[in-house]
Amino acid sequence: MNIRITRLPVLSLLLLLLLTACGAPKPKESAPGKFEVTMRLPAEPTGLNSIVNRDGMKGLVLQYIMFQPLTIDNESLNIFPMVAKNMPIVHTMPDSSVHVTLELRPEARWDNGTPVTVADVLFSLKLCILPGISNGAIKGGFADVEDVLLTPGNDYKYTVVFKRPYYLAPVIAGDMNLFPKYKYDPAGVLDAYTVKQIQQNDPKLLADSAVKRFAEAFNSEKYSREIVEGCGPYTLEKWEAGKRIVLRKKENWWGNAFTNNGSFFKAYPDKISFEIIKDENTAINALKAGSIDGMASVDFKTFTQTLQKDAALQQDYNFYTPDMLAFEYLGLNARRNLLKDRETRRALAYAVDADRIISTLMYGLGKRIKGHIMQNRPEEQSAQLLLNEFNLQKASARLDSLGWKDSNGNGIRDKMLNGRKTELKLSLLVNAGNERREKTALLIQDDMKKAGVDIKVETLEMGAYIEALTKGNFDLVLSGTVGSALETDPYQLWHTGSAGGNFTGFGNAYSDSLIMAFRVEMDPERRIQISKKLQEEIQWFASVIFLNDMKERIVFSKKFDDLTVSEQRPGFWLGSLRKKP
Amino acid sequence: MWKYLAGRTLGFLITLLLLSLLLMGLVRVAPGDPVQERAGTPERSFADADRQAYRNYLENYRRESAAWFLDVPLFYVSLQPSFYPDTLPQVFPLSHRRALAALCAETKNIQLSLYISEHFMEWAFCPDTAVSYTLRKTALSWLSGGTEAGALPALFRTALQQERLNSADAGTCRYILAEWERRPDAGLWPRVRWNGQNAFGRWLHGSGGREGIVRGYWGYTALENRPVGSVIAEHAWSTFVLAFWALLLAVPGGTLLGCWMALHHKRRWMRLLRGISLLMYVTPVFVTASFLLLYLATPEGVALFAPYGEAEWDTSQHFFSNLWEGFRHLVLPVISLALGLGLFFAAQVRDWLLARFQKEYVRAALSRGIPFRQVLRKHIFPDIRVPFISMIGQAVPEIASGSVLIEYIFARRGLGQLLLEASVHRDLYLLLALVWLSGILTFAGNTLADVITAKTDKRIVLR
Repeated sequence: MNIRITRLPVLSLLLLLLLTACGAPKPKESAPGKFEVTMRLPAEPTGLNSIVNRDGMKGLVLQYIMFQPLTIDNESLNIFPMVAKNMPIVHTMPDSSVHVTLELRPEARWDNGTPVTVADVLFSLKLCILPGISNGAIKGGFADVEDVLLTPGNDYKYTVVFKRPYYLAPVIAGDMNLFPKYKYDPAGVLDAYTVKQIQQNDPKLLADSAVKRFAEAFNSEKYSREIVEGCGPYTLEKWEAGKRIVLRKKENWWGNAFTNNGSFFKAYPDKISFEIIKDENTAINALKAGSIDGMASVDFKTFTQTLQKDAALQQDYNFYTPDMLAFEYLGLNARRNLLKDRETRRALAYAVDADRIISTLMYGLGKRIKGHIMQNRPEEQSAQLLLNEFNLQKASARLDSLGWKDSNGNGIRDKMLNGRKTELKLSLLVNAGNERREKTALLIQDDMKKAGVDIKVETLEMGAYIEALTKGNFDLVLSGTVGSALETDPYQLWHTGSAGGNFTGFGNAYSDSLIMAFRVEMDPERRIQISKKLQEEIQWFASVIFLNDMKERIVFSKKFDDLTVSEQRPGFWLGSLRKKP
Repeated sequence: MWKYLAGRTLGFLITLLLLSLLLMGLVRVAPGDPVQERAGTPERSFADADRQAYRNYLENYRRESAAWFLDVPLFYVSLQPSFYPDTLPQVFPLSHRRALAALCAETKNIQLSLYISEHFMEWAFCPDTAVSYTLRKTALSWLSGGTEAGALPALFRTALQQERLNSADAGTCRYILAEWERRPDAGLWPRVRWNGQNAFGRWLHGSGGREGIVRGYWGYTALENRPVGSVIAEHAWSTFVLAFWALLLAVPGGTLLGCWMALHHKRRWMRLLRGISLLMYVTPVFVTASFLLLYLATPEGVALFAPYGEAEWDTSQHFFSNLWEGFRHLVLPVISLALGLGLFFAAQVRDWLLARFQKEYVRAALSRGIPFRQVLRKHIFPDIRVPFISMIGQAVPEIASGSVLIEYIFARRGLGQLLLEASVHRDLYLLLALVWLSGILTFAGNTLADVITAKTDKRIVLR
């Protein structure tokens, strides 16, 4: 053997040994009494500006930095005064405008020690509606805000004036992240304009070059990645692009005095680190290696069949499955010829086995639902609603009675329509990339086939899927909705004029009138009655077969105690964690 | 040589420009509306019958759509049917734009289509009592892109027959139906239109206060609103490190392996070894990576290497500890990426060497007592260096494409991941910049390979 060839591998081996001999680096240790929590982040946020950046990941991080006057409490799932001192006071005026009054906690402080005042609220609201800022996705929510009235002599009390009644007005008045004016607008560029002027696109405002420069700067990465300040318990320590986002607990945070007021005021970890790991398998390996302390939104099968059955993980990790405020449904396009008839839709509903979907594909991490009202509000659900019954005999009998019979023995029902023999062949639209939904579609296809209905599953990329939905180019569709703990505005999902969510063509003049009445009804009890009628109408119309809700899947290290889990997204609050001795 | 390089560079630039135009066109015709994700939907304006809010929404949408070049036509010249309005690109949002285009195609009458569009805008925001239920519902649905143009006459007839319309609305419906029936002769020839303001021109040389790529302006990313150059620079180092080490492992490693396999090709166990290397070669990259992770980066295996991420230089740690950390984070992704390519190199080199071992000049040299090492160096290697150099040139884009998956699996922040995200989100400025970067690197690699080949082999002349 040539001695020169052998020299290279020997040298390499020596170098490797030398490196190995140095050993693994010393683990980083926190100061005594302090501890750090590391959580997986499945995607990197596009930025941490709650107004300009619209991806879902930013909320998961931002909730520890920025607080709002009002929020939804993790435990009670009701509106909760966070930076506000108490619940909003609502007055409906004789001119039909609605006045919502809130008062801030005088203890609330920014990082420079100055108090959070109405000036900051006003500034934050202006950011939500200012032309030139990329606030389009949230601006619509403030469309009814006419003005903000200050209370003379009180820098903490303010009244938001809504030009017309809207049941979510109290929430909108307090549902905005508070930005410190001293940091974001030290020159007071927006002080020259009132909320009213901004809402009305005052020509002077539109021509103001200082405002244009301000808006451009606000849209830039400087206020998405570098300057991110709020009155929450944590501050952005560093953001290593593509790797991690690290938050550090503020020293002497004002909220420490309110620890017993709710989970949001608990902020025990000194650092929270979000590790950006896109691939779930990589994240699981990182979990097993101890590089991260927890992860959420684990795949159903992986969670139940792999992680929960792993003895080593069972020993070191807790598994949490809080309810998610979300549901899935099978939509039947009532605008299509074959599905125009309500009785046909009712017949097809008997061929959908939601129980099998939950047990087979969700591994029991979900339950049947009767309507669109979220699980945390059972008192709002109509007692007339029934769970969709799976009964193939009934499906067949009903289809027979409607004239759908298999005249040629090919297993597919047919009927003469407009002088032509038409087979009962339907397309089922599913979005690509969601393996569980794709399998759900196959289960439905299988059951429908037994009832003599031919289903063709069409899997489309998300953009094409949404386009097909909007244009109504489908017969059946598998879809889902994520809600909030509060009453959701039914317009988008159920109004006949909404193409943004009412894909199945549900509705008529009666249901539309219920929806419009619901939106302007300020009395919660009366609103519930209207909602029940709407739910019954949805059930009667039968263009939506409600399948199931879902549970969140969270894995977290047993090194820590007291993780707050909640139905409210994102499903957990890391601030309440305490390290076990 | 210089003529060759100049010609090749010119051809490359023209190709890249055409590719950029094609990419812009593809992003434009892809389904969905990326602008709506940023600009939101007008649902609230519809729900509240708030015309001013809808106008504000349109203004906002128009501004956001500039980031995707959707506010102007695609190219300098467009060929469109004569019945399309000139202002079509100016109509926002995408659902409204497409609905109007479909209406024009259905009616073949621009005036009628614009007339219907204006009335829909009117009816959508009228109070409930001032307009019929059907007309308002139809208007809202049409503005959102939820009603096909062909279905409109039937809806107008329904409104006329079944609802009590006021005289103005009834007259409007009758006029629309009458004009709809009278389809004018649209003519056979499409119209060629010159578009002074167009997306391609804006990107290339800039307009409206913005610069173009000819002045070095590569724009801002659509989602993060960050300079494209700095985003690429952040990601480039990781990919460079990964690709460098993968090439360093694959090329010399594969070559040495191939030499060794050729030298020992008669051994009995060589067939088994070849089978194993073939199996490893055909195994997908993600399978290899997953196996390596499972057995070498988790407690279930050896847990010797890092399961994800990139190492950082920690000044509080020892120099060699930092080196070891770097090694721990790099070795699994490098092996996953280099394995297939290295085995390919090995197989190729082995085949080339075996073919040359049979050549008469080699056998003659060996029979004259020239040492085998000298025969290899002076006779065989010079013979295979031209295809070998070409193979290295082709290895670079292969490594680059393989890095996409490796960066995803190992959570490394590289250009592959960036390209994937830019494609998914249709971030056009970023996508174009990455395509240009990739094209330039491929061009440089191939051209360099050609030049080196020409220099090493005088028989090859570059023209």
